[in-house]
Amino acid sequence: MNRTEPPPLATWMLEHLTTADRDEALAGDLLEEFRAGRSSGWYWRQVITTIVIGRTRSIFEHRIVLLFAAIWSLLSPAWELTFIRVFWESNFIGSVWRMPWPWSAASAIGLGTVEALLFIWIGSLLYVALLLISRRRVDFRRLGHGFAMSIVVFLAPAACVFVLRIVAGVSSNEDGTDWRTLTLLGETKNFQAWAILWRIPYILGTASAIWGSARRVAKEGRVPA
Amino acid sequence: MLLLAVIQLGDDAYGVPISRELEKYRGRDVAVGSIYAALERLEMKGLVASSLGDATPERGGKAKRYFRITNAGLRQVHETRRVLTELWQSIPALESELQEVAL
Repeated sequence: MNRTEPPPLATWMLEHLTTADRDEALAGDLLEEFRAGRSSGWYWRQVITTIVIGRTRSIFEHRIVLLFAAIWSLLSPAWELTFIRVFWESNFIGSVWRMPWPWSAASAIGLGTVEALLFIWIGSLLYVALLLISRRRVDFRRLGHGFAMSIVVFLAPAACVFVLRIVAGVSSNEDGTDWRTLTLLGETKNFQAWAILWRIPYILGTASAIWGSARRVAKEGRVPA
Repeated sequence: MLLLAVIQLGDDAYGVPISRELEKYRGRDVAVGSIYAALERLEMKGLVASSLGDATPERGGKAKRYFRITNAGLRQVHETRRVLTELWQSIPALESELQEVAL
């Protein structure tokens, strides 16, 4: 290995798995120390510690975001039920299922995705409204980025849960309950294992949409270089 | 301890010398990431301020972030020193025990 260059994987992790703007200076410090004679083991320890500290801190700083996302996602089963009722009454769902395969499956997946993303984005806008009411500054550029990210952050775990249900042999209506007999309050209070698991993509999607929306303000601004 | 290191280093207070200074007094490795995390918290509280220096080739073209103590930070250091001194003075028994152990 070239002694003047630290382990490339560790450097890649430092560049891609940390978030704050301080990390360029930090990466420079680690490189300077490595070139001054520190070992590769030392470099790895520093990188891993930096990532762990950064992630832990980020989660702690965003605890309000996570709490809001968790509370908002409690309502997701009730939202799904409302969505099904509206489309059932308009006979839309029936027409989707009468389509030939794969159009029926594609339309059902598309409809479910739109329903979920609408829920996530409405919740995110509610959070932004709360920020504005409490006179916090909102970073709309990062909010827009968060909205785009929430699509991927929701779909990936949602697909995992969906596949897990198929593998576990759990149907969406395993106990034969007629959805027309379900109530919105009953669905909100549904804390069975699969209901909890199904809320996780909603929590992650909502949290990712609003993650960077609130601007951090220091008591004294940084001194310009 | 971190604020004292920043004061001691003066115009040269950036990550590398700060971590070396802390290692010298603590006698073990210091995580540079934890130093930056602590300094950021101090900056949010208005106790230190930071500025970016020039990018240098020996650092892979990455700039140094210099820290300096603010007036509020200086007041905090003096206040901490006063409280610690008072606390130590209020426990003379422990001090005499330590002297006995040293003898």
